[in-house]
Amino acid sequence: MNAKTGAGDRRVYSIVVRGQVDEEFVAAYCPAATKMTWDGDATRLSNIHTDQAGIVGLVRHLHSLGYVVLSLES
Amino acid sequence: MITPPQPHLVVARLRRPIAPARAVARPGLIARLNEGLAAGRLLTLIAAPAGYGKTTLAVQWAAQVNHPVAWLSLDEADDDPLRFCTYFVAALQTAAPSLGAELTPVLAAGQPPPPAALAAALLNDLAAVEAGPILCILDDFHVIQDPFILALLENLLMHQPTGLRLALVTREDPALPLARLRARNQLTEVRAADLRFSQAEAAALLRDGMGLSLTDPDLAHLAERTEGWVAGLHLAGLSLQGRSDPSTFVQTLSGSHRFILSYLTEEVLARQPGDVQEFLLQTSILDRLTGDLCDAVTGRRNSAALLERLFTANLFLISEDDEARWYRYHRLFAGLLQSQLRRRSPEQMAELHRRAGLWHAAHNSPATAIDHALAAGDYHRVVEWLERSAWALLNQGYARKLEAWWHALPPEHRSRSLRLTLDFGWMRLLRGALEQVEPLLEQAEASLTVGDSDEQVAGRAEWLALRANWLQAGGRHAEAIEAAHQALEIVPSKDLRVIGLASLALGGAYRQLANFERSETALRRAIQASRNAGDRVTETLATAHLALMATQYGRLRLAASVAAEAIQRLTEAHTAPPILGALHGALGRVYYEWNDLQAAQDHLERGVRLSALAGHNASTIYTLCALARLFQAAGALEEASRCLDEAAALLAQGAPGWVRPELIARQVGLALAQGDAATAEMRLRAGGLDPDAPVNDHTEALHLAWLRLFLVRGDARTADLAQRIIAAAEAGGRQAALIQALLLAAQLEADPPSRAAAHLRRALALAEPEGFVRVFLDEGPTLAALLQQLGPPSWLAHVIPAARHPSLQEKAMASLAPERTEAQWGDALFEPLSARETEVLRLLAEGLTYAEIAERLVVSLNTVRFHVKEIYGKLGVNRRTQAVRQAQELGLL
Repeated sequence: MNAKTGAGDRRVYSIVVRGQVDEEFVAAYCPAATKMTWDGDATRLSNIHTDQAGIVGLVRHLHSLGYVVLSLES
Repeated sequence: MITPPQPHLVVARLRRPIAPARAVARPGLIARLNEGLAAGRLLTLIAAPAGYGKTTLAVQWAAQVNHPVAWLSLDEADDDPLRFCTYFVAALQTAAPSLGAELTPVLAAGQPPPPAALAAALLNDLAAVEAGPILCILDDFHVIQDPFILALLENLLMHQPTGLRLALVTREDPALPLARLRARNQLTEVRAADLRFSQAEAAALLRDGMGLSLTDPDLAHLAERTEGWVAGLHLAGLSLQGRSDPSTFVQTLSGSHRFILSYLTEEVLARQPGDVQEFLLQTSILDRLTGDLCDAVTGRRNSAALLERLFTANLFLISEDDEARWYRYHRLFAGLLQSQLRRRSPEQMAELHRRAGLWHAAHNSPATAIDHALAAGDYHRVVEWLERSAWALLNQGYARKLEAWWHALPPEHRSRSLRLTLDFGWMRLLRGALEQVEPLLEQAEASLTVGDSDEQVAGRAEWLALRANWLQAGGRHAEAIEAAHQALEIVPSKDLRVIGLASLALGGAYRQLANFERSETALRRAIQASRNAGDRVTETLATAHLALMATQYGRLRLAASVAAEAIQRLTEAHTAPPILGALHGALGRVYYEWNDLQAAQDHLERGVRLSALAGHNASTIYTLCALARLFQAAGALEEASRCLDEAAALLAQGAPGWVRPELIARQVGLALAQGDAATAEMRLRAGGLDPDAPVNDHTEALHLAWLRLFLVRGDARTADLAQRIIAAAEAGGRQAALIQALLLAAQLEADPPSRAAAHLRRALALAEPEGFVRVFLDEGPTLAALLQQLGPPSWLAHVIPAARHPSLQEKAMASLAPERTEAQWGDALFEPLSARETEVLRLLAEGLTYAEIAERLVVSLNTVRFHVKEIYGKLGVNRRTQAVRQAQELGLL
C-alpha cells in the first residue's frame, strides 16, 4: 500500500452517465476544470480533480437526479 | 386524530461533543478555518472518509471561535424535512434564543414550510441576531440526501446571510453548489489530505498522548502505513500499549484501511479482559449508550463505571455530554464490533435488541424502541408500540420513519391491528396523501368483524368516519354526508373522538354544498365532541371551517368569536398549524368590517406571514387581498398595489381557482380608486366573466366589480345587474355582498331620494346586528351625503366623519368631474397631525425614502409606513406629491 492509493488523495476522475447533463450543473457542482462532452446518448464528465469524498458525493448527486452512471474511472 | 404532544428533542444532539482528552492540537487547520470565518466565507466544509478526525477538529475549532456556536449532530432519521428543520431551528436557538419565534410553532404543528418561505423566515430572524454571525456546525451531514433540506440550505447560502456561517462535517461532498461557492471565494475546505497526521502529529498522539516509546523510524513507518489516518494511528497505539516489541508489530502492519482497521480492532479487543470484550460486543448494537441502558442489555450492574473507564482509556467511545452520562461508539468501530458479534454469537443479537427495545419503551423513547423491536423480529411489540405512540412520533417529525416501519412489518402483522390501520389512514389523510388512504380503507374494511360488541361497533363507526373525511377531502360531498350520518348513527355515545371526526366530515361537506345552517350545526358538534375527547387537531379544523364560513356569510360576530378563541388556544399550545394563517386572515377581515384598522392590519399581516410559512398559497392570496383593501382604504395605494402584485405572482405559481375572482375584484377596485377605469375594464374582461351571466356565490365578487365599473361608466345595465346581485346574495344568505350591492344601488338611484333611502335602510338593518361599518365608509362621500340626508343611526353616526378617504367611487367621479377636489373633501374632515406625523411629513417633503426616514427617526420601516398611511389618511391623499401640496396649502409645512 502506498500513498498513491489512499482515500485522502486527489485524483483525476471521469464519469459517464446516460442522458444529457446541463452546463449549469457542471458550473455549480463539479470541480473547476471539469470537461463535459455529449455524444447524443451519454454525457462524459472528465478531468474531475477531486478526492474520495468529492467523487462519492458527485456520484450520489447524479444518482439522486436520476442519471444512470455507466462508468467511473480514474 | 389524537392530540399530539409537543415535539420532544434529544437535547444531547444539540450539544457539542467533548473532544477526546488527549486530542492532538492542530493549530494549522484551526488557523485555516478561522481565516475562512474572518474572510466572511459562508460555508466551511470538512469532508473526508470516516476516521480522519473530522468531528474532533470541528469540536476543537468551535471551542475557540469568537462567534456564537450552534451544533447539531445529525442521524439518519434527520433526513426528513420536518425533523431536520425542527432540530436545525432548535440548534440555532441555542445560539440565539429569540430566533424562530414564529417558526417553532409552525414546525410543532407538523408541516415543514416550503424551503423558500422557511429560508426567508430564517434569514429575517438571522438578520436580527445581534451577537454576530452564528457558526452553525452540522456534523455527519452525509446522512442528508433529501432534496428539500438541500434546497433550504442552498436557499440560505444564496442569500448570503450576514447572521449565519454554515459548517458541514461530512464523509462525502453534499449536493450543494460547491463549485459556484468556490469560484466566489465563499467556501473554506478542509479535506482528507489536510486531515492526515504528519509524523510530528503522530508523535504527539502516540508518544505524548498514549505514553508509547516509539523510535522515529517506527513513527515514520506507522504514519506511512496508515497514511496519517488517525483512526488507524489510534488503534495502532492501543494495540501497542504494553507491548515489548513495538517495532516488530509496526512492521507487520500493511493493507487497506479497512483491513488495518479490522485487524487492529481484533488486536485491541483481544487485549481486553473477557468481560470487557463481551461488554463492547453486546453494547455495539446501541446507537447511544448510558449506564442504565447497558445494564439492561448486558445484565451487568456496573456499566456506568465501565463506560467511564473505557472513555478514559480512549477505547472507541465518544462522550456526548459534559456529565459523562451518554456516549456513543465511534461509527467505524460500532460497525466492526457488530460484525464481530454477528460472527461470534449471532443467536444473541435478537435478544440484545429485544432488551434494548424494552428499555427504550420504558424510558419514553418509542422510536428507538421500535427500531430495536424490528431488529429483534419482535413484531407484536412493534405493533403494540406503534399503536401507543404513532401520533406522538408523527408530531416529532417521524413521518417518513413511520411509513418505513409500516412497510417493514410483515403484512399479517399490519392487518392484525385495525387500530393501527385506521391510525395510518388518519395520518395520511392529514398529510393530504389521499390516494394512499384508499388501500388502508380497504384493508381496514376487510378486518372489520360483524358483531354487536362495543369494540366491533366502534371499529365500524371509526372506519365510516375515516371514509367520510376521505370522501369529503376528495370532493365527493354527498357520499361523505351519507357515510358521516351512518357513522353517527352507530357510534357509541362515549366515543367522542369518532363523533367529532364524523361531524367534521359532515360540516365540511355541507359547507361545500353552501348549506350554512347544517354545516354550522355539524361543526359545532364536532368542536364540542373533539374538545371533550382532547382531540385538538379535529377541534382546530372544525373551528377553522366554522370561522371561515361565518366570514364568507357575513356572520361577523360568530366568525370573530370562533376565530379568536381558536387562535388563543393554538397560541397557548405553542402550535401553528397551516390553518392558523387563515384564522388570522378571517379575524382581520372582521376587524376591518368593524373599522378597527389597526387590529385588522395586525391580524392580516400575521395571516399573510403564517400562510406563506405554511405554503398555503390560497390563504396567502386571499389574505393579501384583504390587506390590499385595508391599505387602499387608508390611502396607501402603493402598498395596496404591492400586496396585489404579490398575490398575482403567487396565483401564477399555482393556487386553487376560487381565490382568483377575489383578486381580480380587488385589482378592479384599486384601478377605479386610481381613476383608471380602462385598466379596471381590462382586468374584468381578462377575468372571463360575462357581466350578463347569472349571478351565484362563485361569481358574486366579479359581478360586484362589474357593477362598480358600470356605475362609473353610467352603463345602461347598471340597475339590472344591481338587482340581480341583490337577489342572488339574498337567496344565498351572503350578507356582506348583499349590503355592498344595496349601497351601490342606493348611489345609483340617488334620485329620487326615496328609492335610495329604501336601499340604505335595508342595508343598515342588515349591517347593524353584525356591526358592519367599513362597508359604508368605503363607499365614500356620495354615500356619506346620502346617509347624512337620511340621518344615520347612532352606531354609524360617530364613525362617519372618519370616512375622510375618498373611495374608489369618489375617485372615479373626481376624475370625471375635476372641479370636485380632494382638498375640499379633506378640509371638511381634517384631523390634526400628531407631532411625529408632522416630522415624518417634513422628511417626506425633503424627498427622503421610507428607509431613510426610518433611519433618521430610529424607528422601523413598518412604523414609517404606518405614519405615512395615517398622514395620507388625514390629508385625504394617496401620493407623496399630493400630501406635500396639501400640507403646504394647509400651512403645515
